[in-house]
Parts: sequence; C-alpha cells; structure tokens
Amino acid sequence: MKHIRQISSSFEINHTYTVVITDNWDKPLEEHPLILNHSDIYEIADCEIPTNNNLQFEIYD
Amino acid sequence: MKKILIAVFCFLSLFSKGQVYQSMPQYGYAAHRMSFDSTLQIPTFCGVPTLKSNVLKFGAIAFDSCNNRFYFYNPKTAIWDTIKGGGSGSTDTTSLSNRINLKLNISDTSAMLTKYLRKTDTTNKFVNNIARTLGKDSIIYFIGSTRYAIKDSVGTNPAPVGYYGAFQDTINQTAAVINTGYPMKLRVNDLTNGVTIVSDSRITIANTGIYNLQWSAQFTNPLASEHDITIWLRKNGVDVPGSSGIVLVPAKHGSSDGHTLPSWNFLLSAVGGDYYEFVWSTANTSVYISYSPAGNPPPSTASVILTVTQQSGIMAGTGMTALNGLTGAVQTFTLDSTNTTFKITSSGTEHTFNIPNASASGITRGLISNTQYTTFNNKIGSGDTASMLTNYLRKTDTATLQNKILAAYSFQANKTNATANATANTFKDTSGVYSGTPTYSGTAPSGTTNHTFRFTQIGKMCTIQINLSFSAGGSPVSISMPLPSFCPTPVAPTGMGADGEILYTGVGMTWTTRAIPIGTGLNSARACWMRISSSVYQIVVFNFSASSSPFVSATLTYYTN
Repeated sequence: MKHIRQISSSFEINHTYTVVITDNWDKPLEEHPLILNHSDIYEIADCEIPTNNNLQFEIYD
Repeated sequence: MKKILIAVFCFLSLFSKGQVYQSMPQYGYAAHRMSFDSTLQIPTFCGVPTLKSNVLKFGAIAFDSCNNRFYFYNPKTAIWDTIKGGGSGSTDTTSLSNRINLKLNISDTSAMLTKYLRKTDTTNKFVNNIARTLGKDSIIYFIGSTRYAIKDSVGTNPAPVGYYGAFQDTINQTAAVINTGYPMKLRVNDLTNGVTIVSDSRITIANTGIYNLQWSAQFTNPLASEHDITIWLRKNGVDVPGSSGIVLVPAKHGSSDGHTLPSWNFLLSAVGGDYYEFVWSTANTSVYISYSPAGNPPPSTASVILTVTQQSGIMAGTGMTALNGLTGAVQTFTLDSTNTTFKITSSGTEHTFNIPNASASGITRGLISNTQYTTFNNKIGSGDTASMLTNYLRKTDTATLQNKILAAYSFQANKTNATANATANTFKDTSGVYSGTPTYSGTAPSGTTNHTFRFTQIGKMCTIQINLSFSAGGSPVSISMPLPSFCPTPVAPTGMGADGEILYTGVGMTWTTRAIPIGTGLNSARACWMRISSSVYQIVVFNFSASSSPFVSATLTYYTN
C-alpha cells in the first residue's frame, strides 16, 4: 500500500514506523505538502504497513 | 633166670586182654547208655546234617561247623532243625529269623508292623523320633534332621476347672449390740482358687460367673429362753433384699446350751471383683456363733463354714489369658487425658485410655467437645461441599489470596448483599509494554522505543500511566495514545461522552532530555486528558514547546462502572 512515512521509520522490533494519515488527502501523495516541503523528513513508500508494536501515525494539520 | 622171665611172660599172657579194633558197622554202635568223662565227639557237617543210617526211629544231633550251629534230628518229623529252647546257651541269636524274633512280640501281626516306624524312615514323611520332654510340656519330633515340638496341655496349662473356695472360722463370734448386723468372719482358708476372703468377711469373687455359696454356722444359746437370730446376704456392702432368714435358737435345757446349725445356699451371678458377706444379727447378745474344740469322739466344730463353687462362666484355665500384655484374671479400663495424643497404657490389671482434649495446650490430637463441635459446625453451611470449602478464606490465606480465594479481580466486601457493597469491586495492578498505536500531530518522535504502562484499579477508580521513550524526539505538537484494550471502559461524566469530547483530565508532559523537563516551574508539567474519538478512548498530551520530545508521559485517573 502506498503511503507517506517518516524517513526514520524502520521495520525493526522496538523501532518506530511512522505513517502519515492521508485519509482526507485526495490528491497524489507526491503533491502532499510534507513531501513537497519536508522531503528530508518524509518519503513515499509502496509497501505493506507493518503492524509491530511501534506503529504510529501522524496527522498533518 | 631165663626160665623165670618166660614164666612171667606166660603168666601175663594168661591174664591180660588184648585191644582189638574192629571196623564200625555202617549204622554205628548201639549203646543203651553212654557216659563220657571229658568230651563227646559228634558228627560234624558243613550246613544241614544228613542221616547216614536209614533207621529213622532214632533221634540224632550234629554240629554245623561251617555256621556254628547245633542241629537235631526229630524222628517224629524226620526233619533236621536247629536247636531251640533249653537256655540261652542253645538259642540261636545269629540267624536272621531269631534276630527278628527277639525284636517282635509273639502277638505282633503284619498289619501292626506296617505302622511301626523304622529308623531309616527319615525322608519328610515319617516321624522317626517322638519324645515328650519333661518340664517343657512338649512332644519333640524330627523330620529328617529338623527338630520340631508340639506343646501339649499337660503341665503348665491348667486343666479347665471352676473357681472355688472353702473357708471356715474357728473362733467364737459374738454380737455386741442386739438386732445389729455383723458379718460372719471366715478366717481360715481351706481351699481357694479365684475366691478369696478379704478383711476376714468379704467373700471376693475374682472371675465373673455363676457361683453357688453354701454356708452354715453353729449358733449357741446359753440362756434359758430361746431367741431368734437372722442371717442375710450383703453384696458389695449393700444388703440383698429377700435374702434374710430367721432361725430360732433353742433355749438351754438342763446343763446343755441350746444349739442350732442353720445352712442354706445362694446361687449368685457375680462379676469379677464383687464381694459378698453373710451377716447375722441376734435378739439377744448372749446368743453367739460358737466354736467347739474336738471332743470324744467328735472333732472340733467350726463356728462358720462356707464353700463357694463356680457353676458356669469362664472356667479357670480357659478363655482369654492376656490382654495387651496383662494376664490378670480381672482387668479394668480407665480414661485419662494427661497425654498429648491418644494412647493406651496397660499396667497391673488396668488399661488406661489416654484421650486428651484437643483444646488443651501442646496436644497433638485429641477430642473436641460438643461445644467445640457446635462452634465448628456452625461455621459450615449444611450445603457446603468439600470442593466448596477449598475456596473459603482462612486467616492464614494471605500469600495466595488472589489465586486461591477470589475470582479474578473481583471482591465483594462483607460477604453480604448489603447495599453498600452489593456490587463486586476490582483490585488490580498490572504493568508492561505499551503496545498502543499513538497518533501525532506534528513530526513524530522516531527511532528505538521503550514504551511502558502501569495500570491500577481500586474498585471503580482506574489510574493509567503511559510512558513513551524514543531515541529521536521529532517535533510533535500533540500525542494521542489509545487506552490499552484491557482497561475497563471509562464511564463518561454526566452530560459528556459525545464523540470528540474530553472525559477526564490528568497530568502529562513531553521533554527532551531525561533529567530536564521542558520549560521551568509550573510549565514543566501540563494537563493531559482523555477523550473519546470515533469510539476510541485516547489520552492526549500536548508538547507546548514544539521542540524535540523523545520522552512522553501521561498519568490519568478515570472511573468505570
């Protein structure tokens, strides 16, 4: 599933995997402000979102 | 000279008788009598002799030099036989027949002989030696070389016999006061076996059974008027109703005192240890029980005579002979409570059952009283089962209270349905890794995590503390942490509970380094709150400094139903 994540995200146990909530974003993810303005922090990933204990979400306001 | 010698020779020839040997006839010489001055030579044979002569009418003797036997020929039977009778010198003790004959009686039959034991009968099925050892009362026998014994009843074991006693008294017995009972004295023991006289008058029965008591007493009245005397039976110190007999003692007549010798018996059922007395009273103290010394011709007269004979019951030498090591004929049981546990001790003729009270100090085991039983019984319901009792609380059930006694996380106080405690309450404390999925506003912290929680519930009050730790702080604005799933559902305060509304508040903080809070003073800690969002209860913490915040903590108390 294509999604925006923090670049620092990891699949390792005891390591965070932060996904940006884009439920209300109906444009291409590449046009998301976090990608456009904070590409040093966020990136677009096309993989399954892990369900480990450290999955967390971000809300873009 | 020559003529003289010839004349002598002729003379001797005229008077001398020459010895002539002639051939013996075939049947020998016949002689009516013979006399021998030294030895008699008779024919010898090797084995049974035979007759040379065909004249069978004469007896003959011969000697078997091979077997060292005398034989004689009986002309009536025409048989040679060994010599029998006539003294030991002629008895054949060598031949087999005579040896057997010496060991047997003439009346022995072959059937009898089959019952005799032989010395060689030793192999497990014959007893080859039976002997009773005097003083040991046993029959000793052997099977092979093994010795066995059968104890017989002769000697140490007395033959069954009834108990008995025979007593008398040889002293005058008088009454000091009229119409007063005096036990007859029996101070001489003639026979005694299980029946004794105690204190001169008490006929004491040692063994339970039926006994016949036969008594007599010689009463004498030295007065000119006759008087009554009364005799009765007393058992264990108590007069026996119906046992009295009244006897009139004749008055003195002439120079002779009046005499009477009443006698009767009682058949009594006695228990071992019982004692009896024959009691007498007189209407005049001059009347007495008299002893008379031997006269001419009568022997002495005892003042009192008593015989006791057992009629039935356990006779002497029968029945049980020992109980718990005691062999007394009469044994008793007693109770004691001086030991620390149940115990039976036997000494003398008494068996003591030591049964202490369970309530006494230092007791290992003992009896409980009815009061104690009732107290204990009242603590248990009539419908209680053993499996139910294992769930009851005991005073000592402290370490295992939760697991053993209470249902998980539930406790109903006072064990009543009183209103104040009608609802079960929970006591719970747990902690571990926080596995919720936080949601951030702003840039989320990242990196290696160490998320923990602690949850405590007392009754309806729940306190949850969540701590998030990251290796990189990010720059969050707010953090929303879902309430762990095991936490009971919060109850919304009245008027609240719509989606997005805040339900409870607590204390929360984000900070950058472990030892230094964000901001200073009152700003170091801020409020956090619980809200419901899309049916999810969340605890929200704000990062007011918007700086790197790798550490997040929130502590909040809420209520549940």
